Amino acid sequence: MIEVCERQVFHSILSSRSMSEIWESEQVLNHGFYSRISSTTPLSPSALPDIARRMLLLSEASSTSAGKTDGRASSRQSMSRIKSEKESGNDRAMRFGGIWSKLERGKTLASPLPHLQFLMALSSLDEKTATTSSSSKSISNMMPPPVPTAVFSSTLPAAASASSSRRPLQETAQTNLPTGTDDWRGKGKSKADMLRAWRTAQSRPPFPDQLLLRDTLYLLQGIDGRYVRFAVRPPAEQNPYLTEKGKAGDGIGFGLGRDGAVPAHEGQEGDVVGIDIVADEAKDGYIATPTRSVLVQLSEMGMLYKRVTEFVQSGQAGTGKGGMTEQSLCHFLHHELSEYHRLLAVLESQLSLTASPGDGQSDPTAVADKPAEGAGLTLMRLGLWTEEIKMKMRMMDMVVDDAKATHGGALVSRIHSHTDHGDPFVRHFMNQVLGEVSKPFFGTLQKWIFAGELHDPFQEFFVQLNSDTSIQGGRASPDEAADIGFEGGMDAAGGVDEAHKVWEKKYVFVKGMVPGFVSEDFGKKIFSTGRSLNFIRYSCRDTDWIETQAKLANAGRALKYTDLGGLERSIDDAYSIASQRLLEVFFDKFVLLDHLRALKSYLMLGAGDFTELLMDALAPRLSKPAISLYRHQLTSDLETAIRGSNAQYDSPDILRRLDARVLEYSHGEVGWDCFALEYKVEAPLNAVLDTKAMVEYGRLFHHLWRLKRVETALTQGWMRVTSGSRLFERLPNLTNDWHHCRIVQAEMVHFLRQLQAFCQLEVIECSWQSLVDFTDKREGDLDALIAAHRTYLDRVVRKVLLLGSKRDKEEILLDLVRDALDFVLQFRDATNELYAWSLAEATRLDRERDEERGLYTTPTMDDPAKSLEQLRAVRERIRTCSINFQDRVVSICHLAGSHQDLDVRFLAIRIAFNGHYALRKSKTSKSNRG
Amino acid sequence: MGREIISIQAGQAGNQVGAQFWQKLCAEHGISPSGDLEDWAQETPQGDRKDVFFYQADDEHYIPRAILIDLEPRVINNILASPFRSLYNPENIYVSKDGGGAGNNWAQGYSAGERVYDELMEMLDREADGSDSLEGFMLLHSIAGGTGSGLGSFLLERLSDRFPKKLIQTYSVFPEASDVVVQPYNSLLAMKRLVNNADSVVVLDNAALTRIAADRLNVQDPSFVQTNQLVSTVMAASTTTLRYPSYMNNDLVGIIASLIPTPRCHFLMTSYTPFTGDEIDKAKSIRKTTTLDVMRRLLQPKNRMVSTTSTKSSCYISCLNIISGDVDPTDVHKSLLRIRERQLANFIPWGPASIQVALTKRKVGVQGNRVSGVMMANHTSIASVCLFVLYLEYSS
Repeated sequence: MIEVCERQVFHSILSSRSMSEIWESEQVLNHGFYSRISSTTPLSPSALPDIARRMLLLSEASSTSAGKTDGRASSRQSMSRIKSEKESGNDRAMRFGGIWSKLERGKTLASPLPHLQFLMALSSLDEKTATTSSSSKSISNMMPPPVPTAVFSSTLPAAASASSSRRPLQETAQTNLPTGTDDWRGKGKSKADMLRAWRTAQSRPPFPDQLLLRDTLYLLQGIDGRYVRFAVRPPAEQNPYLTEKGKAGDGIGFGLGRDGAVPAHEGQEGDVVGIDIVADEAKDGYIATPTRSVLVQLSEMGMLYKRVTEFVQSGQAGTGKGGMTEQSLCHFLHHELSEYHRLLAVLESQLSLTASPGDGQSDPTAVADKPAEGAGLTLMRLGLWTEEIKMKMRMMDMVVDDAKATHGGALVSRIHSHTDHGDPFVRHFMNQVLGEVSKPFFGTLQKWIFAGELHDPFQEFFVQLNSDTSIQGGRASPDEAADIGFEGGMDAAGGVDEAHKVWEKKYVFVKGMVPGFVSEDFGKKIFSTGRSLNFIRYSCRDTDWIETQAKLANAGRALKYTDLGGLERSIDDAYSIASQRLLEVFFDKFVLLDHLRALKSYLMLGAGDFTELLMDALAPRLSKPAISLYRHQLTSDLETAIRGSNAQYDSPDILRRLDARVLEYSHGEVGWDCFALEYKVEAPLNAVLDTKAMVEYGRLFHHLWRLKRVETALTQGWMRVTSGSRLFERLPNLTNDWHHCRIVQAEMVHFLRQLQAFCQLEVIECSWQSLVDFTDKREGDLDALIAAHRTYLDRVVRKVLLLGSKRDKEEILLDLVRDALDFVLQFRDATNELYAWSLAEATRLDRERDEERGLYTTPTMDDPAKSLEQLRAVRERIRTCSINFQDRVVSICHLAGSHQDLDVRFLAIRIAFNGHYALRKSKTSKSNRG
Repeated sequence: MGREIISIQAGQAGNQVGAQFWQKLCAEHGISPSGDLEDWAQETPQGDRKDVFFYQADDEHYIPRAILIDLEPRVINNILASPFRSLYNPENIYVSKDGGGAGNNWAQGYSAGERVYDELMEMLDREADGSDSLEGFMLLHSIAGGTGSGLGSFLLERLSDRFPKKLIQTYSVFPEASDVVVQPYNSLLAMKRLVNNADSVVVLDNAALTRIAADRLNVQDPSFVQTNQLVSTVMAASTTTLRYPSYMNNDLVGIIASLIPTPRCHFLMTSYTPFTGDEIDKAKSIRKTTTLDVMRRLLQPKNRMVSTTSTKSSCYISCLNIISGDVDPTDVHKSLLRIRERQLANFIPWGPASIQVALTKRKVGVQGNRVSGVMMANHTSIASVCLFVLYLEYSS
């Protein structure tokens, strides 16, 4: 490489030609003359021809070193001139001979400088001689004829004699150049020079660079130049690339498939696909192939510029998709483009600098010479100077492409994916882009997490208003971007509108719109934060919001892409503040826990005194057919129960929510079946206690109420059985009946109490405990709270109702329990009958004795046989009831014992604590076997 | 409103225990000795049901539903000299005018009852009328003395006659062997009434009380005050579920129905643990107790308030543990499983039986939230106590 560089330096000094010419000659070296037609370097942004890039680098290096050497060289030159005047020609010949032999011997130059100096001197001489064509004295004086002629003889005449034919030159070029790169002697005169000279001789003068430059500058601005134009992809039917002509490769175009097929990525009509050179080469001059490819490469930027500008303009004109992200992208691009324009202006001034001192554009060499001195513009320089901006343009184009395909957060995400680039330049630029583009995103984010407002007119944020019309109702049409909150429907509908739905469904989380620098978990956090705030703001009351705002004021910081750590911190802050605040509002202001407690004590019958009173008050009504039940009676009974129990100390807000209701009943049902206690909740409480939850509570109440009812019936039965048995001790033949009743009764009491204790202790209290544990911590957001409540309720419902896991057999245990309870009630009725019968029997016996005692009584009407019949029926009933009941209990034990829920299994253990049922089972199985 | 219980304290022992009992209830419900509600109890609703044992006078004072009966004035005079003198309704205090007492004679007490029947019934009727839904009566007495035993028996008979649908529960202090000649006869005569006329009898044994005071409290030679405190603690504890209603065990019938399967088996025994300085004067404090500890200790014979002699075949017919304090509901579950595994309790084989557990919130009025429990059990070994009474009869 060093050698190459050296050669370049050497070269430049030697020829003092313009950069472009050096480059041109290199191009010649690489491409050869014959490749003029197929120099269709594709303009795809990704693939810059490698060679061109290398050339540019080289030329850069050479230009700098040339510049440096130039100064020194010129001073030395003058020195050597002074010397040369003093010294004799012989001396110099001697020196040259020495140098020459050294050069001949060693391939490398140990100390190139003296040689360079010398050759420099030579070259300046040579130019004069070459241009004047009459060899001056000085040459002959300076150079000893034998050696120099030997060196230059091969090249000089060729350059000098413009009339020599084309063929030999081409041959030399073809033979010398590819193979003889190490033959430095071949470069005594640059090939470009030779080429130009030859071309001039061919009356095909090179096209004036000046014009090309001007056109190029136009191209860079996306304007068609006079000689060079953008080739526009024609409508498909006229696609020249599809025609024979196109396939033949006429004209300069971009990436055409090898076989002439249209490239795979189909652009739109009117896309710039390359450039057309429309200059009349015959008239104005010849444009060399390398120049053409330079033009192509430069024009790429023009095309990019065109596309970016188009995008910006469409954005500014509002014809684009819109969106704040896009707008800010436009802004950024606009900014960058103005940078670009500035560069173009500078370039243009350079161009005019190039143009003005030039002594006429007719002389191309003059024009070409100028830039070498450091001022002015050449195509090469243009390429070099625009290199950086070209990269930027490419990236901008890429972003623009992204922007066309995506939108909002997704766009930010896309851009963010570009920031993971190995090239620090790209990374930096992309970060800049992102910093700008994400501004509206952060603006929205800030509004969202600090104000709970979704200000997102173009639906770019990853949180979006749910467009489901059933939820939005008439309140906010989904198209309406402005966030109007919930208040509209809520007051009007009077709590019909469920806060739960609002909380759950008002906003949706759009995963695709989450920017890449925000992880999904974090996004959820952001989602929840804003949701909480929004909820506080619109579902709770204003005062809450003001307080919340005050708290948030400390946390509010400007959010920027560049400060992701700060972003995370402030979002964490906002999240904890918002969710804390929401929980606070729920717990302190809306006393959620009190409501839950009320639900537990009233709907789950935790308040025993209240339940008792209610049952006492309602019992006479509820045993009547359901049709005779009136709501106002129920509510007045409810009122009585509240007044009489500890419930009266509860806050009126809770009590007013309690309501007694008659459920829908079918024919033949009694009041017990369709009575329900209700607890009304409105927004925002029903965010937690939603309709579904209330239905579950209703189910629980129904079951527990039934248990309670049976319990009351049983204790009444117990009173009757125990006190009755004392009364009827003297009755003959009934002792066994009563004893049997008592034993079965005890069994029923045991079963019922175990069931109740299980519900209360194992299920309700334990679940409540864990719920309270959760709420005490006050962690998480409303979602967590809702989930905790749901878990609590689910657990209670599943276990109290003994639900199984199998869907079709879910209620198998519950049905058994219900059966058993029904038999308890039947049993109670049966024992009542037995009691009545005993009473009648006692009276009868009494009367009989009256006769013995000599008292007058009315003769007994009862037929003893008939009453015995009755007794038998009663006995039979008691027997069947008890057997059925025991059967049910045994199967309940059996089923619960193999239940997958451990707590339910424990119920079986509780019921058969002393192994009585297990014993009985084995006995029955034995008896069955026997 | 609802489920009121009228307590009747008869005789020396009955009044002494009763005085302690009311003190305890007042402390738990936040009622001052003068009958006013304490400030702390007024501020927040306690979730309690004071009207089971108290009613409110016109001036909002709480007055116990208690009838104090004695044939000699000494104990009642002591009560009337105590800070709690203004608590009781003076109309509900009956002291025999002659003040001679029953002289440790059952017959004298019984016949005195005949004489003062009208006055007593007037009190009882007034109290019964004053309650909305009377649940039953609670009689505190000893069966060895004259008044408690004789007058108590008389009252039992008349009560069950007059209020046949109301429950009658007695807390009866059974005697230990002593030199008093008439004691066995008094006991035996009273026993008959307990068997026939009471719905449930909570048997407390003086011997056992002394033993518990000695063993558990490390108090040798306990005073009457201390043994009475033991009894009143048990009484208060076993009525907590009535006074602090929750899902279950809110009424006396419910509790008794679950404990007494067949009417004749209505002699219940109790255990209480741990006795601490909170409840009893000068008692040693105990380490922290767990639910399992409490439930296990409740099953130990040495904690029973009755000296029973268990045989191998003696077993529980039914059993109810009322546990108060900071109890984690899940602990109960574990404890029950543990007890079942280790077979710490034997149950009857002829019917289902198990340990029922009721949790109550700890009364706010009492400091400390130690876990404590009372057990009311229907145990077959109670027969030995009855046998003992008979044995006393024959041996003397």
